[in-house]
Amino acid sequence: MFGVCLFLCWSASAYAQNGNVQGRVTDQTTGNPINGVSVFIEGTRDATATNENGDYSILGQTGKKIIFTHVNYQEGSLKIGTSSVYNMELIPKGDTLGDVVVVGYGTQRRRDVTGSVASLSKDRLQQLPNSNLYQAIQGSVPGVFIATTSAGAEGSGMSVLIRGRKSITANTDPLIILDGIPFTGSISDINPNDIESVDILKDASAVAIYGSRGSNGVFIVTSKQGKKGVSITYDGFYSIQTLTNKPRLLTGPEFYDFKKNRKNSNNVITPQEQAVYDSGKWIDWYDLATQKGIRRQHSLAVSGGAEKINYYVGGTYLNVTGVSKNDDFKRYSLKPSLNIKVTPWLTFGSTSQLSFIDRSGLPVQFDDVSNTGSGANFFNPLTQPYDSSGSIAVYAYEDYTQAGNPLSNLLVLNTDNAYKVFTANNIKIDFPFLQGLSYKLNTGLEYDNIARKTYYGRNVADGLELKGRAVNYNSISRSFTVENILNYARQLKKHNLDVVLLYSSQSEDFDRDQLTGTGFPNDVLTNYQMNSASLLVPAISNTKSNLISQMIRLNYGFDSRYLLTLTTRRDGYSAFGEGKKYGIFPSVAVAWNIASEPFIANSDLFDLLKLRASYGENGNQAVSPYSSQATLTSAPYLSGGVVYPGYIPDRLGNENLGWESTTSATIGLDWGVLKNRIRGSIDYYQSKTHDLLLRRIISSVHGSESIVQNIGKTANQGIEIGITSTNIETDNFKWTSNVNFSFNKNEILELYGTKTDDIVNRWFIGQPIRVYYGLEYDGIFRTAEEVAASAQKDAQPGWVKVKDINGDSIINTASDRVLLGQLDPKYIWGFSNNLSYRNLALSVFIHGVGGNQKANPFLSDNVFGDIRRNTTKKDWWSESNPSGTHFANDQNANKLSVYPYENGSFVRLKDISLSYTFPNQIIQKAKLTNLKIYVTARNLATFTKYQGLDPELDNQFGLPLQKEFLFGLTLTL
Amino acid sequence: MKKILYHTLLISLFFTTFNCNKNYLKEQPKAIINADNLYVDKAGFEAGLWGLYNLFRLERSSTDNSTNNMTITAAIIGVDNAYCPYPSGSAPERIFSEFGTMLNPTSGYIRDLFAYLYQIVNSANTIINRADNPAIAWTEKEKNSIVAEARLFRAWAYRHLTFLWGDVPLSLEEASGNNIKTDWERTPVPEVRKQMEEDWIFAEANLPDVPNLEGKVTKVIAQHYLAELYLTIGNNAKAREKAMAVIANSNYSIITNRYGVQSSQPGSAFMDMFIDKNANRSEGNKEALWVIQNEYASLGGYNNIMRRWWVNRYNTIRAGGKTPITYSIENGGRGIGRFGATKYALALYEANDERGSAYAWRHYWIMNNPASLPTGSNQNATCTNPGYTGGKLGDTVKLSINCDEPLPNSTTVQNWPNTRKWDWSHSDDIQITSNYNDQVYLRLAETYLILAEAQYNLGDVAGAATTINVLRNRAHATPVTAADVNIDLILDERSRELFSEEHRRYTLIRLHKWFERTKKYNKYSGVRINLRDNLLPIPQSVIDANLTKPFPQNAGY
Repeated sequence: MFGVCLFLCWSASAYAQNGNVQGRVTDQTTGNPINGVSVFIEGTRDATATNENGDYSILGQTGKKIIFTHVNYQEGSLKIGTSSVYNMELIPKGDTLGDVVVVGYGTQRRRDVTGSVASLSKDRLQQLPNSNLYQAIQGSVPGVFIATTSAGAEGSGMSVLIRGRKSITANTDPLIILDGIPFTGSISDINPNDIESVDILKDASAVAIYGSRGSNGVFIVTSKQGKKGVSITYDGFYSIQTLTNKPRLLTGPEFYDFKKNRKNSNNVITPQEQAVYDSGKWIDWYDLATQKGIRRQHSLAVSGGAEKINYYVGGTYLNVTGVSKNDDFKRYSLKPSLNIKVTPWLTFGSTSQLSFIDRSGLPVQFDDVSNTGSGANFFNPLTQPYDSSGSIAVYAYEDYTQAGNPLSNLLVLNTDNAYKVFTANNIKIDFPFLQGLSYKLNTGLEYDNIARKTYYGRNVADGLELKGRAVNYNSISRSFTVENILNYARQLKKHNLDVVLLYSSQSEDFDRDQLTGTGFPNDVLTNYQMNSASLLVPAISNTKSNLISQMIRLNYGFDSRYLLTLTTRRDGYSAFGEGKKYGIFPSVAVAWNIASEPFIANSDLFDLLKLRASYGENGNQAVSPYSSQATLTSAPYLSGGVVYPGYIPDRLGNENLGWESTTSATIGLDWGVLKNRIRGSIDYYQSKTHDLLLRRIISSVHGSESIVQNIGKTANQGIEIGITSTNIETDNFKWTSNVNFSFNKNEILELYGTKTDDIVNRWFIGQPIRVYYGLEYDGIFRTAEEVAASAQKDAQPGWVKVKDINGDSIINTASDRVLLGQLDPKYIWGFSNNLSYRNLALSVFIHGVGGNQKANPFLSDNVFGDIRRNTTKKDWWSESNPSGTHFANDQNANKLSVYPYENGSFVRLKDISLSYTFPNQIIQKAKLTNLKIYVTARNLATFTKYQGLDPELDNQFGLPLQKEFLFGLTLTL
Repeated sequence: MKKILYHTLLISLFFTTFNCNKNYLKEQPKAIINADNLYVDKAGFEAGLWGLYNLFRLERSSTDNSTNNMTITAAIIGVDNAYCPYPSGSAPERIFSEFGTMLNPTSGYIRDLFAYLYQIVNSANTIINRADNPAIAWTEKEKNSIVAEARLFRAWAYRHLTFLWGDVPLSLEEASGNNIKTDWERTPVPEVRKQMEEDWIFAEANLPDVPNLEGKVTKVIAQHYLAELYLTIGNNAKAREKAMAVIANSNYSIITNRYGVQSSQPGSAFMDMFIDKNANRSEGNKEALWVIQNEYASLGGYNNIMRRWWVNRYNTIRAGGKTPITYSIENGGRGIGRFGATKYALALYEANDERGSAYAWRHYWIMNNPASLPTGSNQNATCTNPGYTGGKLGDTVKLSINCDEPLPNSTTVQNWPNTRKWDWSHSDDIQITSNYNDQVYLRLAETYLILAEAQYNLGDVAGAATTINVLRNRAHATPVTAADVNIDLILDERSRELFSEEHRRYTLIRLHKWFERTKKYNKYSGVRINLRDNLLPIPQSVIDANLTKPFPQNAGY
């Protein structure tokens, strides 16, 4: 390492004595020297200020205190002892002016930032007990749209879109940088308790340093590190979860009538259905499959530090008993971190996360994924879950054994363990020969092992039919990152220069081994009898991808008034075709702190007024490895009992697969008035995405129905507004509000170099990427005359009327199709209010989205021809109910399966939290430094016109979202 | 100045120290196989061929990896002799029951079926094109044999495509991701058939007489399809020549005597080949030209839903208010009656015709459900109520066959007899969803009927009668006379012999009889079909994806 030889060239500077004390003042978060700190000796008139290197020298006396003050930092003090050197680390003040923002490969003072960087408020992060980081971010940062796509104990079903949809095929997940390292695991692997801050890079300039992977935004997650002194914190909570919403399913008698009355169906009541109906003991499967959920967490953190060393060790145990039976999630995590200033020029930092996740137990199958009527949610109510001995029956629906028993997962043996290691280690060398030059070697390693064993014995349908089924699964995913960062930061009078050079590589691989065995002599040896299986089916996969990057960033600031950032990054990614692997992504950003100009500074109106503008290009590489290669798939055959391996073409290759790139321009204004009582920011952006990585449907004459290609051009434009205001502030009472609003318009500009629509892919010039397109629902026929006058002569009263768009009196499934709305919301917003009175604090957070259409699958009575599955209660039209709003209970009533789309807008009361911090007298008596108790309610109410299960969830047949009531305690020693 | 120089040096050092391996970004997949590394030798091409067999077998399976939505539905029901007793949802069998609105270009089944057939075309093209690679070390004979198999399959796929959709794009090149076409054209049927003819002639010349492994394609299969093709295009002399070639091949003969695993039990020579372990040549079946291979609990086996689809819901038959019949291997396993015979098909048989006997059809069931036995008896089977001989295990439930086929989903559907050709279950799981037995796919009896048709068309009516009587004699049915023979008789005879085996729709379309006979004999669908239904709609996705050239839809959709 060349740093070592450089060390030899360096001679340590000696400190002067002569009654003078001296030292350096640095920023505790960034370690950067602070210029202009006032330094004075308590009780004297001796005062000085630090120079641009943060150094000071002052006449001192043993026993006296040195006081350090700076407008952007909390005051610090030190007692003079026998030494002559007193270095000081100042803690940045918690106001937005002096806040330090992590911008990737370094930090910046917020006032010096040129790009759009949003920081998650500490309240959202700390006051709310989240299992998952996305839960904290949802709705609280402008321009970041997070949707809960599925419910469950783990709470990991969330999707993220930043500044609108650019791509569909390629992943829209943002890049997560955890302690400087691109994190490849799931967001639910990060324990929110260990997180210090989350900064979100949104515009081209801010994300440009992550070039290839920036176009979906970058979440920079910084974990907690040790601080001076020692503190021990315990945080624990306990919560109860219930369902937010439950579909109104038919009761047993209603189902019986529904079945008997259903026309054009095989509506014979089966013997079991009749018996259950007669007994009156019909089953509410929803109730049977769900329970009161419980979530509890204990976490203990020890943090401390001295001059040259700090540490943080956090341990957390989370245990969730889901609302769906057997849906359990346990996470044990340990997060040690250590920072050592080995010598004045060498710093070592290490932060890790070790976790063990236990998902053992198969949750009750809620959704009917096999389409056999087997899901618990819509299971036939006229069935019997338990056999005569009271155990879970193999077949609940005796007359349709394929449906099995939704509760049988409770009998399946399953262990599902994940072992995860994440460790980020770096050394930083500050070259002494040139002030401000440093080199950092940053390394990251992720290792994730999932071991799963599942056994279906003869007490469940699957096991009974196959004479036992064992699935042994093992996977290992790894990611290695090495970054070399050379940094030169120098402040010369009013000129501030910061240059970063980066050379890095990242390698990810995944290896999966699965073996399924069936046909065992008995169930005794469960997963440990593969040698006696009558059929073994292996499933294997192995992928590897490599990324190599170089980046240069230059930040220049004059007097913190005029700021400039120039960035260029070059990335090479292995999954692209030959000759298409490298991409270059440049960007430029400027900012002007108008409030610092003399002509404004003298007026008291603005405390902050900053104009920002940026322009640049980012990439998206989010295609899986080997996407450019043509592949074959296994298709074996046999002859005379001998198996022969066979292969058929599967995926078409595309040697030209390359980067998706987005060029975007942002202009933004940050402002604060009335002594920052009201402050906010507004951003307007426009972006154009070229060569989108899209999975395109092609003519099946190719023998394949889709291919991933670089296609077309799309545009996004939008406005993001965030305002924080202190509405009332008295000695005892404070009320602050925060509102954010984002509007995004997404539009396809061009496809295949032309302005023609691609109907098969539902891509239309001038429309958003994701739209509904098809036949239009036009109500139901109510009279024979209406039918006669319509384009559907074969219809009957009560059937669905389809809009004859072209008016040719024929419903044509091609020419009568129209656009029926967009799937992604046009706008999203969040509104939070924090009220505090003495030691009581209340926060209320509301989140909403709007402008999107959503399909409601509940509108269909999808019960099979012989009515084996339940459905929701509806106002079915019939001759005796001519005012019915829903089409008739008749299998033929909606032959073209045309349904109306519903308004997907909603407003959700996400969180209400009330906390009480014990007064100082009590805390001190108990020898504590802090004691707080809180109650939180989640997803308390939702306001929507949407009639399905939940406007936010993807799968309306899945588990509903949970409502949660939580009690917690925080205690610091 | 010195400083700047020093710094420049330092920075360049920084970027050059970490010079990367040139191959760092080159992909080297370990667990993925692609065409470039498979089709390099004979073994690789053979693996490609097995892939074709795997695809071919999906005809009796589903298009969507489920155990529903039988791939070949369109060719089997919605015709004169078969219909759908239990239509449901948007399933293919409901489409070919309802027709009308349900048969439309956006149907998922229509789209999947079209895609499935072109997947076979492309898989075959890949083999055929890549076999020309001069770097492969093989003899001309080895190469031709592999190409012949692939070409047989390609023509097989175009046979389906042309019968179902008429003019379809003729694709003869392996698809490449670098050249996505958006201007496909519908090639006129005669041109496609010209290619099919060439493919099968090549196959005929390069394939062996008998399969070298059970289930492999042979010369006679190519000849059989050529004979049918020549009938289709009106070249009756050639049709006769090719059919005669198959029949004259001494390796194949019509089964006239009992054989195989159940030969000592009551049964008929006609039905023996449909019994598990009797389908293959090595098991004694010299009539089979092509046998689908399958195996339970084997990596090479796959779902086959013939029994699930053809066997009726006998477990719901009520006798005296009870349901005395339950699933068993003897009863053929669990069926859900998605396909069933029309009255026309059931009524075709004279009393002594073995093909219409209780060995071939379920005319009655034996009580085997101790949990639900009726009391008393009822000797008279009617269309609404089956008769029953008593209330003991082993008593008989008699079905009436002198009824119209029950309307779909009506209360009497379960009382309707079903064919026994696909009976199969497994002792491990009596209610097992799929069949895993080897099944006859193509047999000599059909070649005879092709020959009879060619002879009739050529004016050799006596010859046609003789040919037909080979089958009738085997079934102990009364021989026909030359005067009896006409196209309708041949169609009737095909139904008697090949019910549920042949692609009935294709036969009727080929003879321009589909509309007339379906209207006449299919009670439910007959009143629902239109002339446009002679051809299926081109999938809307195919039309919509043809961005740069209009892709015409079939008339009427």
